[in-house]
Amino acid sequence: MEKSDNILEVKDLQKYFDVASGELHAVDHLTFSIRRGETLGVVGESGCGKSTLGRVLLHLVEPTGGEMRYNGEDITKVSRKRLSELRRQMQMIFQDPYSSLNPRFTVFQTIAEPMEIAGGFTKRQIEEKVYAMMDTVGLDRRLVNSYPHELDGGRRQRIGIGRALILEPEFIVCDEPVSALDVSIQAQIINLLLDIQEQRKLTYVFITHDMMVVKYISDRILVMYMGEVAELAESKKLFEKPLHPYTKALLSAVPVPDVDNRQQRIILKGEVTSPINPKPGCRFAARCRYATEICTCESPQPAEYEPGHLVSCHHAQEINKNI
Amino acid sequence: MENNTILSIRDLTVHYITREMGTCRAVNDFSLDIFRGETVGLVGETGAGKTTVALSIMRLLQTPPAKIVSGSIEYNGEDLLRKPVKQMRSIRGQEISMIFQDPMTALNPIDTVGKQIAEVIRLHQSVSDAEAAVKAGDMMELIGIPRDRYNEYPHQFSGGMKQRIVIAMALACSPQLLLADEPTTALDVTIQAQVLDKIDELKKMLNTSVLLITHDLGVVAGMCDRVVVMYAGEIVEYGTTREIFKHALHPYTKGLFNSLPSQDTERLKPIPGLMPDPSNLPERCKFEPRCEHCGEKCSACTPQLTEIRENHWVRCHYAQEG
Repeated sequence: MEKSDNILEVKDLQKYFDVASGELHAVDHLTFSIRRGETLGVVGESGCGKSTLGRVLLHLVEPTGGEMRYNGEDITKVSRKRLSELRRQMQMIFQDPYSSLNPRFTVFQTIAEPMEIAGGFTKRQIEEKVYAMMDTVGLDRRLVNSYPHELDGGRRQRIGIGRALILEPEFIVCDEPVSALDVSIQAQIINLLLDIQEQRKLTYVFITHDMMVVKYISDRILVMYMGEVAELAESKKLFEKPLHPYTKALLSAVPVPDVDNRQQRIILKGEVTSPINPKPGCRFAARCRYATEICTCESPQPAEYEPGHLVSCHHAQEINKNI
Repeated sequence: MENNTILSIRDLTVHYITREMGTCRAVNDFSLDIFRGETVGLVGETGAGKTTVALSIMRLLQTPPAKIVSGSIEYNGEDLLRKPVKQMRSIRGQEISMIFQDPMTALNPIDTVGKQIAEVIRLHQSVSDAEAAVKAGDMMELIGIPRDRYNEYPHQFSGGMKQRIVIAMALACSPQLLLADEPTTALDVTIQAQVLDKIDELKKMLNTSVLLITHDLGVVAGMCDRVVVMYAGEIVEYGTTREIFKHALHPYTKGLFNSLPSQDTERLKPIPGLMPDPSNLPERCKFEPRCEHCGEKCSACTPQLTEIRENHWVRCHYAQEG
């Protein structure tokens, strides 16, 4: 088989956590692939398993079951040695620039650390690369000896990005990288991420709960609901024609900064059910206005509604007939 | 004075004075009227002074380090800043209530939620414990939580439900003014929609005025009658929601809108630079260091809030020229 267009293929991926009251299904039988050079947005509400997914992809937590293939290689179980090689190619940008940086490390130390761990660089090489990286991510060189607490959130996030990029990876999981930032700073960081992606031909998995941001930045979007795929489609398609009742509600609830467009919000009744020892059946059924008997006893499987547009809903055909 | 005005803030100036940082000028010459039954949105970024304004109204600022340097806050014609502590205590919760951002820390973890709602009622109204409990149960139903959960503790509720309980506490005595400080920022969007709908519904039912503090322009568009934009402790622009969204005039407000991701923009246009250090504010226009449209006048004199269009005030020398 020739080198595939997919940088990462995930099949039947599971991550369960043991908790006091049972087994928490954080990621449950996810199957999808990530294309080389694209941005795959992963959205869903808090607790839907999107961050866990990002962590499993990078082996920050080990999967319970399923399979992950990176450039065709099975990386579901890898040796420590192989993992440290993979880390050069796969990196992560974290949400909170306040807690993800070591407070005792200067900017230089923070950005240089991955190179030191990876090994094989001279002091001079490290210095050159760190300064070049500071230019790339828009950090003034005079900040090189500053500590995180001396810097604002936007600059801290630039450090986090510099640190993730220093080993020249090709695949980056961005876990809510702009959620903690004010809008004007958020826009600066989004532009930076897009510029770097273009220059370095990066593939992003972009995890966020912000629908406006994900729409702007993603090529395709994966909507998660309680550990499962609710819907997967091209970004534009998903916003034009959401098929899953949850996606419809989610999109309608996003406050739009437009006074002429006070759209009808779909208010979901009921509360999120527990992901601990989930019962069979659709996990959204309790909040779904279209739920029928089949929804409470049989789990819907993701099915292709249109080419490239997957949805997990027993009633996808009927409820979208008239759209 | 107009009968219609419920709250009138005049020239409010608040400083935080600390040994390490010197004097932080958090709020400077802030004036605002809130009318009966309206919702006013107070927008701005972290550190703009939004929460300090709300805490000044509630007289909940920690002093020191905070110090109300000057100004007045008239509520129904009486200056809250001159009220004795005891009187202020009866106004809080009864006349003016506040919802805080984080529902996880606003509730007492060792009391049942029903008891916490009832406590507010008992404090402000001369009712028996039993009557207060009934009223608290009514409030719970009003916000969509079954009253048989009266005896449960905060940790047994989800984030959205906790925030609704906080709202029930804030509205239990039908206050005339509600200060909501980022009430939905910690919540998921579908839950945010529930909570905002609830606030709107109760507000209409009780004819409460609301000061909604938020950084989310989407929330403002859906909820507010008027908008006030704050930058570095000052109002830079205010007007009706429609005016601000259709004809934003201040470069900062425009910058905020341009920073929002939306499908029509090819590339986001962020505001360059950072908010000035509040202990070292620029002398003239606070926005000048980040402004792309500044001219000679900006370094010569401080811009004043001026009515550029009907009911639309802007603090910028060049607002008229667009």
